[in-house]
This record gives sequence, structure tokens and C-alpha cells, in this order.
Amino acid sequence: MRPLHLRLHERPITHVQFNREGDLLFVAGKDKLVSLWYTSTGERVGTYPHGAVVYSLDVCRKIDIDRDTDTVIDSTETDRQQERTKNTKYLITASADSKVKVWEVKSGREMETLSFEVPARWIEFAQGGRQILVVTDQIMGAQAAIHVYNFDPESVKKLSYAYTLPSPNCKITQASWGPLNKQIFAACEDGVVRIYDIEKETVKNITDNTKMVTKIAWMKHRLMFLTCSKDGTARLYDTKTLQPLKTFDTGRPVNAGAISPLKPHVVLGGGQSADSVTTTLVDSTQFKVKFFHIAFGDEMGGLLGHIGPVHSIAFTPDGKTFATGGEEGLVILNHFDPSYFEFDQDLVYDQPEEEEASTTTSA
Amino acid sequence: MATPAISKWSDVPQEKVQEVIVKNEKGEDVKIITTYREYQVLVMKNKKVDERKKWGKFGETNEANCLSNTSSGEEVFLTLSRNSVSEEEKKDVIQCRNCKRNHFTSKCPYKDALELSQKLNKPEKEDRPDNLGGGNRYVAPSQRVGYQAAAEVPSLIVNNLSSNATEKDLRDLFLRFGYVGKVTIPKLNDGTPRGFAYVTYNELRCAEEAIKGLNGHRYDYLVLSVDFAKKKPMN
Repeated sequence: MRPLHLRLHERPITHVQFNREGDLLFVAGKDKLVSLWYTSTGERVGTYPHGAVVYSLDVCRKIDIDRDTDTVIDSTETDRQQERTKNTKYLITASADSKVKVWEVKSGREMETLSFEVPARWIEFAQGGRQILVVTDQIMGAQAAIHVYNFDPESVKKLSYAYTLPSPNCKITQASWGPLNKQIFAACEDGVVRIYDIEKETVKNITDNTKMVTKIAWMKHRLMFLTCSKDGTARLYDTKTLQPLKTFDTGRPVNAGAISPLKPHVVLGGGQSADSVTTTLVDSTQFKVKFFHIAFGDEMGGLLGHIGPVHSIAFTPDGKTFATGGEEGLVILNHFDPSYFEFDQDLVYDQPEEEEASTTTSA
Repeated sequence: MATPAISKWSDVPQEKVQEVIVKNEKGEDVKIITTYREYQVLVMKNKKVDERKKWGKFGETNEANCLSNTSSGEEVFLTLSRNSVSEEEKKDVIQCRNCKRNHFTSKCPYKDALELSQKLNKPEKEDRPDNLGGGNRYVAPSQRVGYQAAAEVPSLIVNNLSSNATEKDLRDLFLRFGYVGKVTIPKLNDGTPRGFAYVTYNELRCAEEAIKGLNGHRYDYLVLSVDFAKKKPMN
């Protein structure tokens, strides 16, 4: 397959993300810009001039509407309904100049700005889109914290403060909503994944990783999640029991990971960070994006292309396309070949002994 | 367009016949009979996605520069296999440079035989032919022996094109068969189109599908003819 290279950003890419249908790709970079692209053609739609290093973004997927008006009658009613769900209507960005901004996706218009005292590291919509979480940095004497804001698309002032979670006393790299928004999963710099139960107000810790946890990636229905770590491993956990299921060892810092929504594949990217390049032996193969089997845990293949560490990986919801963003500012958009979907199709996962046993009993 | 799968024979639409009388080169009347079937093809489309495709450009982006930062990368091959060995592990294995077996080069048992054969081969190497690039005369890379042309991108020629067709129209038309790299509509000096266009795909598969799907396609008021563009003969 022939990937598309998007070379707009001149500084490292921090975050790539698709919208709900997977037809739009949002890219945030350290060159104070967020850009929007059509996935199918690689055509640029527009740019959002943020004015500061953008660390993270999220796009509004679908906002829950009230149950009593949920009856669908005819096609015009469905259109109205779709309009009211506000799918891909708003974009939120978190930046190094301590600001969180709300944008209208279609026009690139800035709608609201929220100021903090310290840089905002991560931002994410809750499922249902009624709340957002903002992670602020541990810097200049401030404690790292996860702030939750209510998001009301109907009113003029969209963001209103809800609550702040207790600080873990170390830098938080990412935080993400758990199933049904009952928990918040926080990846921390000390290698611990902290799980805040919002209703019971308790904290659970996962302390398997030895170095900084860089990302938490979800499976399609949030039944399992993947933690990527600087210690060179990515670990798969059961969301309900928090039991470790699988460890994927890459031997290099893992900065980003994603689980395919279509195939049983885990995609991991990373590489030696730029500041330690002079002290370690490095070649371009270590910036390879690697494919692992989710159940067997073995490495199946990889894709070259990046010449710097990969910082963000995202799949489209249909699993047919994925995008990677790297330190060198390059975004690679891969549309899979038909051969990718055929691979492993005929693989029989059952044990052959069972079949033999059944034939003997019938005889 | 692919023929839709029809399970019942009664569902196959009736054949229709169209007769057109045209004059051929010699001035004789020729009747062209075309028989065809009309199939209805149901394509699932997302209304919201279609609407988003019509969005205007904003920010620093406009219609002219919206594709300027997009390029198609080198072809990569994602070969998935179970139990694949990563490159690092391969590198650790000791390999003899001479015989490619599993020992150090200095301890190669075939060392003596190899040195002897190298001595024998040496004089032959010195009088290499001129066109290898070793002589004084400069030889263009493409003229050298053993030159392999870079993998070419398949390019299509679209003939019988309406003068109203713009580059964007063609892009939209050809897009459903794959990523369209370049669209060129050659023009005369006064700016009127010459009635054909070149369309470049990344992959041969897409180009073949486009020929299958769009050769004979009715566009504007003309019938397109799509074929592989002939390579310009090198002088």
C-alpha cells in the first residue's frame, strides 16, 4: 500500500484523532496549529490558529439528548435529531499557554476560552459528550490535577466547572474516561496507572510498569485497555477486574498505541526520544510502527516511514485506515490493502484435539 | 460498475436495444446496435459525511493550497506473519561475509579457496566496459548497464472529454477507485482545453478498476474513453 504523507506541521505532532465516522482527521502539533483533513483524499480542510503549543485535542462525537424527545417519526425528524446530537460540531484543544479552547469544527471559529494557571496536558470528552476532563501539569509549584467541566452545547457559555480529583503528586500524562464514565483512568509519570472511581471516591493503582506511562488506549467497547510505557512494554488489562492479560515487549520506549476495532491487532509506535539519541545506538528501524496479535502477543510485522519517535496513533472507527504522527512533524495516513483484511481470515482458533475427541466418542 | 448479485433469474432486468445510425469514414451509413441492461445499485452512504465533503475551506487553507502539503509516500509493504522475527534478532546472529554461514569471517573454512578465486577474477574486473560508468566519458544513469527504472505510477489518458470538465470534477469522478495523485488537463494557448486529460493513480489495481468502471462512462454530453497513457518514447 502507498500511504499519504501530510507535511503541514514543521514541529512534533502531539495528537492525531479521527471523528466518529472517520471521514475527518484532526492533527495537533507543537507549531501552534491544529489542522483538519479529509481522510479519503488527504485534502486539507482548514487550520485552527491556536497560538500556542497544542498538547491535546478531542472532537465532540455525539451528545446524549433527552430520552422523552428520542422518538423518531420520519426522515425530517431524523435529520433534526442528527443536528441536535452535535456530532463533529465542536473541537476542544488543550495548550501549553494554559488555555482550553472550544472551536466550531466547520468554520474554524473560536467559541470559548478557558484559562488555567499551568499548561493543560490532556483533554477528553466523556462518552455522551456532556462532560470534559482537563489534565493540568505539575509545574511552577502547582500540583498536577484532573479537572472535570460540564459541557452544555446549547448555552453560550459552554463550559462550567464541576469538580477536581485529588492530585496523585506526580505528573499526569493522560487521563481517560472509563466505561459509562464511572471511572477516570490516569496515566502517571511514576509508572502507575491510577483509577479514580467517581461514585465511590476511591483510587486503585496498577503498578506493573517501571517507567512513565505515556498513553492509555481503549478497545472498541472499553472492555480492555492498553497502557504504553517508556519501559518498552505495552500491557493489556481487563477493565473490570484490572487483571493484566498480555504484555507486548518492543524493547524501545512506547509512546503511542492503538487497538484495531476490526482485527485482533495491537499497533504500537515509539522510539528513543530526541534528547537521548546521542547516548544510545539508534537506527531508523526503531521508529517502526509495529503490529502485534492481541491474543498470541507475537509481533506480526511493521511499517517504516517515520524518522523520529511516533507520538500518536489513531484508527478510524471502521478499522480500515490508521494515522500516525511523529516527532519530525509528519503525519502518515495508511489505507489498508485488501490483503490486510484477508490475513488470518482462515486461521482456526480451536484446539485440534477437541475435534479428534468428538470423533472418537461418536464412533 | 460491478454487476450486483442477483439471486433470482426473474430479477434480471430486460435487455434494452439502442440503434444509432452514423456515417463512417467512407461516408456510408452504419448502424450501431447496443444492447444493455439497467441495474439498480444500492449504495450505502452517510448523509452527514456527504454534507461534510461540501464544507468550505477556512483558516490559512483555500482551494489552491489544500493539496499542497499532501503527497503520496513510497510504497510500503505490510507483510503480516505469525512468529515473525524482528530485525534486531536477525542482526545478532553471526554471519560470515564470504559464505553466509554461521561463523566469523576470519574463521571461514573456505577462506583459502575464496582468496584464490578472487585473484583469478581480478584482472577481468579491470577492463570493464565503458558504459558501466567507469570510463572517462560520462554516461547518464539511464544509459548504464543494469539500470532499473524507478517504479512507475500508472497514468491514464481520458479522451473525448467535455470542455466544461475541471480538474476537481475529474478528481471527484476518479476518486472512488483509489487515491488520485495528479490530474492534468492540457490546454491550448488561448486557454481552451484540448479535450483530453491525464489522471495518475498510485496503484495499478486502482487504475485497472478505473478503466473498467469509467471507459464508456457518459459524462456531460460525451462518452469518455479511458485507457492507459502511452509512455513518451525516450530519445
